[in-house]
Amino acid sequence: MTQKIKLALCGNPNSGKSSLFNKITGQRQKVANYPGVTVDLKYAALKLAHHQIQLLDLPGTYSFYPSTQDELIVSKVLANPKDENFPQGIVYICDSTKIDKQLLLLSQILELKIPCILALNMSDLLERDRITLDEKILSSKLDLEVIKISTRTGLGIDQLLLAMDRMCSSPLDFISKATFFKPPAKLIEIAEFIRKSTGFENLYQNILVAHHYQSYHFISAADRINVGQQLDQKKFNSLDYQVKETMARFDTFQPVVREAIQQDPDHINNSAQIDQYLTHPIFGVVVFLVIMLFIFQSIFAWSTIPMDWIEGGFAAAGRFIQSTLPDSMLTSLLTEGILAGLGGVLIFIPQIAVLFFLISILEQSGYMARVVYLFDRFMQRFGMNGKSLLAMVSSTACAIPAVMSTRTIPNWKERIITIMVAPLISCSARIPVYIILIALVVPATKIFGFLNLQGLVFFGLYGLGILAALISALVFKHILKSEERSFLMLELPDYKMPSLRNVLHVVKDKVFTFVWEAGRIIMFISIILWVLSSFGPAQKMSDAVANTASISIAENLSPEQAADLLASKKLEASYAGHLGKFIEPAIEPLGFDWKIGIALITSFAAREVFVGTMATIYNVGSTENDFAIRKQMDAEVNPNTGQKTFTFAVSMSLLIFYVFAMQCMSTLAVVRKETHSWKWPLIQFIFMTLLAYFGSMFTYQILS
Amino acid sequence: MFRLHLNKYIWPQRESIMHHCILDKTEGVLSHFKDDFIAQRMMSMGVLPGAKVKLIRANPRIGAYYILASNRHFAMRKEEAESLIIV
Repeated sequence: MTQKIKLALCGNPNSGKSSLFNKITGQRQKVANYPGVTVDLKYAALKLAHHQIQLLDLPGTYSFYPSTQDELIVSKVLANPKDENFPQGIVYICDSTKIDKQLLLLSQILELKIPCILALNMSDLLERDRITLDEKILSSKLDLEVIKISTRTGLGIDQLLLAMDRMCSSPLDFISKATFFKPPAKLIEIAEFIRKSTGFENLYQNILVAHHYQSYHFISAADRINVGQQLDQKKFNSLDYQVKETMARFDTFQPVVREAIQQDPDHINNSAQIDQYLTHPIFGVVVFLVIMLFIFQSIFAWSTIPMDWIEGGFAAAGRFIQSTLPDSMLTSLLTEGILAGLGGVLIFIPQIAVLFFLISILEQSGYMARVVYLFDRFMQRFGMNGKSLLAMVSSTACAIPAVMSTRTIPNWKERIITIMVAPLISCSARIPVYIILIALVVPATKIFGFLNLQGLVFFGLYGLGILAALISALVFKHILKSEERSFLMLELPDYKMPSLRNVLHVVKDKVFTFVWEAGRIIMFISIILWVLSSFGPAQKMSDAVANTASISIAENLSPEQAADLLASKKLEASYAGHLGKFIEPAIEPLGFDWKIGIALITSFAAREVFVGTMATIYNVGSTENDFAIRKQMDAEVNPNTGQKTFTFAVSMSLLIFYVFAMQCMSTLAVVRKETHSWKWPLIQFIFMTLLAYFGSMFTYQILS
Repeated sequence: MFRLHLNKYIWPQRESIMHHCILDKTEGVLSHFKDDFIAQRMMSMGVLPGAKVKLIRANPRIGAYYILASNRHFAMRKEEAESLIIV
C-alpha cells in the first residue's frame, strides 16, 4: 500500500467531491483513521492506465483556515510532506456554477507546489443556470490542466482518469507556476524564522505553521513553544493575516474567473422559491415535524420484517447447533454467548439502514441545512447547535451514529452537550423493554374512543426521554465553561436530486461502523455475561441441579418444562444470580427484586437483552414467546409480601429506569473515542444512572 | 475594486449614516464586516465586500437569519448578520 502513488481529492463542501469519489472508486473504499483525531479519511485503490493509485477523499473545506477539526485535517495533511497521507498529486473539484467562490482553497494548494488537476463538476448544469465557461482561459491563467466533468452524467470522467494517469507519470508538469498571494514583508520574516524549526523549503508551508502551530503535532513540542514565543514577540495576529490573505487571493483570481465565465448576474435558481415554503417560520416547522413522523414510522414499519428474519434466523441457527452438537459447555457458549451476542448486534441493522437511507436523502437534497436554519436558536437556548437536532434524530435509532455525527459541530461545548444528552433519546434497543412492560401493566383500553392507552404511554416515554435530554442540556449549558466562539454561518446549498449511489454509500458506511464499533463490545460483554450466568460457586450449582431434578420428578414435569426450570435455577445459583442478589438492597427502594437485578446487569450488553434474561429467569427460555414471558411475569408473586411482583408501580418504575439509564457499553466506548478521554463517558454514565435511580425511586414511592 | 476595500473592514469607527447593518436595511452592497472572525469565515465562502446582500427571511425566535449574499444562500445567527455592514 505504501508503494502506491497517493492522490487526493480536495474541494469545498457541496462541490460534489464525495460523488466523484464514489463514482470512480465504486465499492472498494476503506476508512483510514487519522492518528490522534477521529476523522475518518476514506481511501480507495484505483487502477489507472499505467498506475496503481490510492485515492484519498479529504474532508470538504473552504480554505486552509477552517473552523472545525474535521476541516483542519486538510491543511495538516497537505502542509506536512512527511505525513503518511500526504498525496503526490491532487484533484481539485469545484462546482462549475459557483467557480468564482470555490477557488480559494485551490489557490492555497497551488502555493504548496503540489501537482494538481482542476475538475469542474456539474458542468451539465451550466446551461440551466445560463452560464458559459471557457476552461481554456482558466487553464492558461491558472497554469493548470482543467477538465469539465459531471458526476451525474459521467461526462469527462474518463478524461479526468487519463489526466490523473499522466499526473502520476510526470508530476512536475502538473505543478502550477501561478501565484495568488504575495505575503507582506513581516509575514515573510516570521516564515523565515519558522523555517529554522521545520526545515520546510516552501514559504507558504511555513506560513501555515505560523497560523496552526498549536495543532500541528508533526512539529516537536519544543519547537512549537519556540514558534509560539517568537510569534508573540512579533505580535502576530493570525486572524488579521488570514483575512488579508483571503482578500488578496480573491483579488487575484476573481478577474481570471470573470474573464473565463459569462453569467447572468441576476439569475436565481429555484431553491429560493422552494425555501419560501420549507423555511417558513410556521409552515416549515410543520413540514419538518411531518417528515420526522414519517421517518419514525418508516423505521418501525419497514424494518420489522427484516428484523423478524434476523431474529428467526438466529433462533433457528441456535436450535440447529443445539441439536447437532453434543450438549457441552462449548455448545452453550456458541449458542448463548456468541450467537446471542451476534444476534444482538445484527438485529439493529435494519433500523439503522432505514434511518440513514432517509436521513442521507434529506441531507443530500440540501434539506438538512434548512433544518439547521429552522431550529438553530431553539437549540442554542439549550446550549446546543442547530446541527445537534440531526444527532437527536439519529438517536431514535441508535446513539452510536448520533454521537459520531456530532463531529460536524464546530464548537466544543455545543458538541459535548449534544454527545452527553443524545443517549437520553429513546433508541430502538429500549423498544422491546417498553413493549413488554407496557403490555403487562397498561390496559389496552381506548380513551376518547380512538386513542390507545398503551400507545399513549409508549409515546409518553419517548417524550420523557426528549424532555430529559433538553433539561440535562440546560444544566450542562450552565456548568460547562467555554471561551471558544460559537457560530453558525452555514451555506444553504441549492436543492438537488440525491443520487441513489451516494445514499447507499452512506447507508453502507453507517451500518459497517455500527457493526464494528458496537459489535465488538456487545460480543465481548455477551461472552462475559454468558460466563457469569453459566458458572457459579460449585456447591450451589450442583445443589441447584439436584433440587431441580427432585422437583421435576415430584411434580411430574415434561422434559421441556424441566429444562426451563433447570435453566432458571442455575441462573439463580450462578455468579450473575449472586450479583443480582448482591445489588438487591440497592434497588429495593425502586421496587426491584434480585431477578430484575439480574436483568439490569445483563442489559449492559444492550438493553433489549432484558427480555431474554426475563425469559430465562421465569423459565420460559425454550418457548421464546413474549406472551409466555408476560404470563409468567404477571403470575410472579413476591414471597415476602405475597403480592404480585410486577405491580403497576414496579413496572412503571422499571420503565422510567430504562428511559434514563445509560445501559449501553458501546455508546460509552464511542463517547470515549470521540472525546479522547474517559472523563466524559464517566460523567455521562454517572449522571444518567443517578437520573434513572432517583427517577425510578420517585415513581415507585409515589405509585406504591 | 477589491483593492479599494482591502482595509475597510477595520474602520467601523468612521461609519457614517450611510452604513447600516443588514438587519436595519435589508438590502444593499456589503461594505465591510464588523468582526474579523466572521469576516474570515464569510470571505472563505466567497462573500466579500462589494457583494450584493439581502436579508430574505428571519426566524429569530427559534431559527436563524436567511441571507442571500453573492447569489448564494446562508443561514446566520443574529450577531453574525449584524456584522454585515452594507451601503
